[in-house]
Amino acid sequence: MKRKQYILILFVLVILAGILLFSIFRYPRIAKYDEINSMPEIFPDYTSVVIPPNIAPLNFSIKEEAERYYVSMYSESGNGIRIISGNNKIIIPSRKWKRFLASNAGSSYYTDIYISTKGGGWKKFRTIINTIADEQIDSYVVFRLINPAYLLWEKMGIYQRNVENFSMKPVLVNLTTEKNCMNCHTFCANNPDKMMLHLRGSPGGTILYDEGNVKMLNTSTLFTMSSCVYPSWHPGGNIIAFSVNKIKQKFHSAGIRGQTVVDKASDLVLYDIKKNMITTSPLVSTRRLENLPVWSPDGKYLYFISGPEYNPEVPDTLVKYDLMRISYDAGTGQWGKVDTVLLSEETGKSISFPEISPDGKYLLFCMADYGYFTIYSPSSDLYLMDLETFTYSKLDINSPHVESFHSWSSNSKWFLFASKRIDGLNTMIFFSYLDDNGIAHKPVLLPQRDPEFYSTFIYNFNRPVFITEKVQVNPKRLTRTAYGKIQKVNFDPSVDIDALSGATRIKKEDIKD
Amino acid sequence: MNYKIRKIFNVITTIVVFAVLFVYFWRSVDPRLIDFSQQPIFFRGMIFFNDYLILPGGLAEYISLFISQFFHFALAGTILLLLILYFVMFLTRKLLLIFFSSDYVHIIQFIPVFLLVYLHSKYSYTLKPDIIILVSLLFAAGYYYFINKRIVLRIILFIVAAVVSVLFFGGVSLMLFSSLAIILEIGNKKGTSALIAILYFIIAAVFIFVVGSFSPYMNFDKVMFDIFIPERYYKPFLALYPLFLFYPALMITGLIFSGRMQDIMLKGDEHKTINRIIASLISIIPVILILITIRFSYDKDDKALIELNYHADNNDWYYVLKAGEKLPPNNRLVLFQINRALYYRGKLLDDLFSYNQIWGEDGLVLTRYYNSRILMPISDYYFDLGYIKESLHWANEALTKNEFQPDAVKRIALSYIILGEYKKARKYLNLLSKSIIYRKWARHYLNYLDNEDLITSDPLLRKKRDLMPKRDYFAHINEPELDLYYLLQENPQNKMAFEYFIALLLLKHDVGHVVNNLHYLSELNYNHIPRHIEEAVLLYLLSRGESEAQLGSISISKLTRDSFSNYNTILTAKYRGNLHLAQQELSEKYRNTLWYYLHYVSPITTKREIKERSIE
Repeated sequence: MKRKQYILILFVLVILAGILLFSIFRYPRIAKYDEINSMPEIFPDYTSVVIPPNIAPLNFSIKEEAERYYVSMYSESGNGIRIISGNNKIIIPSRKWKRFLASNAGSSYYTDIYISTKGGGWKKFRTIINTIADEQIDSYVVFRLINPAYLLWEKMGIYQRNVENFSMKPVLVNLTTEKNCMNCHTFCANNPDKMMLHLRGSPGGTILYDEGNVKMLNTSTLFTMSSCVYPSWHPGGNIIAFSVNKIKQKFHSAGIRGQTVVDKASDLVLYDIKKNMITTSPLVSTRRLENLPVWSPDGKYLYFISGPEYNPEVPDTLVKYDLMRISYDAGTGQWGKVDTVLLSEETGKSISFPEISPDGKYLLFCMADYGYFTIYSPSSDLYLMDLETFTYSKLDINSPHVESFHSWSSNSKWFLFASKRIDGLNTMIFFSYLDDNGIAHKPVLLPQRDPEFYSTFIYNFNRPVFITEKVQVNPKRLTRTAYGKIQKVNFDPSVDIDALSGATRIKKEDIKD
Repeated sequence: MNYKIRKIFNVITTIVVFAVLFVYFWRSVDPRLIDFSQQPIFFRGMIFFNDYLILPGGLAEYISLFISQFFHFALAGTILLLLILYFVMFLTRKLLLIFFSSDYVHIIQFIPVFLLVYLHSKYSYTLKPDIIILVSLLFAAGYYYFINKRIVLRIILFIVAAVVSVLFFGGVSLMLFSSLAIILEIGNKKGTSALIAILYFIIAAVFIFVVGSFSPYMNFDKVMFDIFIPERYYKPFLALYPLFLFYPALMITGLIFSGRMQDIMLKGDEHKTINRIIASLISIIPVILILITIRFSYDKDDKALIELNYHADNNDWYYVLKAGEKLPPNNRLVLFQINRALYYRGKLLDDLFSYNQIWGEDGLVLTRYYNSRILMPISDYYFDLGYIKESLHWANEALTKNEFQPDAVKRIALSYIILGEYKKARKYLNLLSKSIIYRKWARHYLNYLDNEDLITSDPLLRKKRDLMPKRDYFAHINEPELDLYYLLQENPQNKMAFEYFIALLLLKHDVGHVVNNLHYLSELNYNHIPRHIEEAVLLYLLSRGESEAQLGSISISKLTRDSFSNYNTILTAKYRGNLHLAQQELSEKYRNTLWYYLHYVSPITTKREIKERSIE
């Protein structure tokens, strides 16, 4: 019996010694190496970036031919992460990474990359220096995954990705809704408990999830040209501004653009959730093309873009949108007057997708050569406007490719945007740190577990939106709602219909009834 | 002795049946056509694997895709199909022998094979149900192996197999496996059998309910019935029902009659001769049945249509025309491919109306009424013309509808190379290089990226670059003649644009514009005026009351002039303009002319409407 116990103890000791030796000698002691006086080429390009203290491991590939790869990440405080790899993929252990970020928030960290070639010994590249910000990023991003979209669709879904790790869960996928189209997911002030999204086709309508209650709306009325389209949720939570649009897609025969989306008409409407009623004003439903509404964080202004009345004789490539705003009192439902914020005449470009930082200081927007559907426009870049001075500037973080849809983190220190800069083909999510001086720092590509993920992934991360927490509503519940009772919205009978856009289907006599 | 005879005859029968099937699948069905029709693709790597793993039943599809990618090669595909059929038969035999005597099993074991032969003769049938059956039978056979072990072990085994079934192979797999396990337990005839059967039933129901209720990717009915749920482009084959019901039904029968069934063969050496005769008869039955199955399974028309498109895809235009002759023109795609073949064989403007152009312009260009089944042919059309961005557009539409369709991925990659957008091309080539089948192709073109010399030395790519539009305008999918005209204006040497432009005008009865564009004939160095243009010119002159002299250098052949004169004489003089009465004679003599088309075939005349959905 005793002998058996000794053997067991010995066995455990051998195992422990093995583990100890493995952990000591797992990483090579690189006493001798040659210095390479250049930065290593890595993908994604996580060099000289500012990163949030709660981001998932920034796994990357080293684009250098070698037999072995050794990476050492460390900070001023000395602690760090070491990784040795037989292939060029550097996968950072999640727990170590989390601890590393937590203990170094607000300071820089360093990454040394060594490669070893056959018979060539170790070589070390110049040190990569990144900074870990103090301010966290919102934990979740919600986006739609779609193929490079044209006329048809098949498989798509709206997903939520936890940016603190690699977990990605569906909010709703169209495999459960007869492969219909789903789009325009929107939240009220980054709040996951107030969400809406549209379903097109069968089942069709607008799903409204409002703090535990979920319902399906039919937003089509006799007095609006279409069902509600591009949304923005009022910070008060009871009103959603929408555009109504007549949209057409066209395909270029040459040049760098593939396709373009143009509107033949568009107006703005407001949906009152409690009253289940759509209203509008002659000021935002003119013959011009009012589109892409967005509320200011205090809820007092509705910003929108406005283009010239559609004229088939005018080439689509000449249509440019201005940036406007109108004051609105959500308590009384009173509209104010329309102000011009920025004219396309002044910028020479077409303005699109305005988004205001939650602290109300900045307005981030896109400008492109023409039109408003910037995701198809390689000329689309991001601009930042200071809302105190109404001065704006083009951000240094732009690329020659598309920079388009964007969203603010709830603390206004981070924003994300969709960009095609990696391959000119698919939209991917980048986020950028905005410092106290209003400087946007080098964008960071949303990390994936496999750093080569993007090299073959042919779906688009469409309409990425920050939310603070996970969307809790079960996808099954959303599916059941989609197939459940549809609530038809009413149109406000008090609207002065004579002033509405000619594009809107108006039946005066119906209003009187 | 009886055992020996049985065994010998069994082996002989199996060899004969499978030899017949080998020839049938290899030569008649041709797995390459299944591959072409279904376009299965399989990529190495976790990302592709995870896509299927998250779906209940996804692993069945994943395995199905892995195997069916080898249908790209006729012999490999045939061997794989036969292996699957053999394993199904083998496992069927193993299970049936539990309740039936081998005499019966020898015949019955072939029934699932016959059903699968029928199903695999349909080009849209995928391997997924085969995988589900194989796995379920394997689990059931494995379970039977432990049937006499302790009850706790059996329950654990059942639960493990049930979880694997429902999560990875779907509800149908679980239902099949659990029903067989229940039958096996009942057949085990132990005191606890009934209780275990009830327990298994409850476990299976709970598992399906849980997975169906909580999977965010599938609705309950899909989790439960999967391959039996019709979708937009999937209609479950009726033969699937007997195939899946076969096992439980037969095993219940075996259970009921267990012990009461006697061997067909007689016992004792004195009956050796009789037994040989019986064994021969038992052996002949499957052979006869397989021949009958083949006779009723083989879908000649379906094959001809796929063959037509397959040949078109391989630019075998002679065979396209040959296959096209076997098919009725009521499918627009048939006419579309025939017209392409006519162009490539230099006969479009001479023989266009030799084929029954009942769809008019919509049989030449498919874009006005597009749907999911014709997206790649539309891309092919634009690629032929050198209109690369539109070809790319439609290949993307095809890729949307049929995820990772290799033809579409290849077209997109090539288009981006032609357009000089190498980063985009690289992505699709990277993707294809993860496929065993298309890796070589992808690697070949990966070398082209950023290598202008290599691209210009490639005749196809160079030609397409020369032809592609350099001027930017918006595509006209509803007015294809405008696109053709713009292409021609920009590049008067684009012969296909010219011929399709003229053909489209003819099909639209627009002879005026045909005459206005005759100058392209000399620019494109035609050595004769194509017959249908002559026919259009004569019609134009007649309608305008003008003479041939007003056409300048254009001269119409005597044969066409005489034909026109005769046509008019028959119609106006002989039948006094009565089109109905004149039809038979005109059909016999001038069925292949523009004039006959205009009077009798054109959808503008016949008011034929396209009932296909324009968007799906």
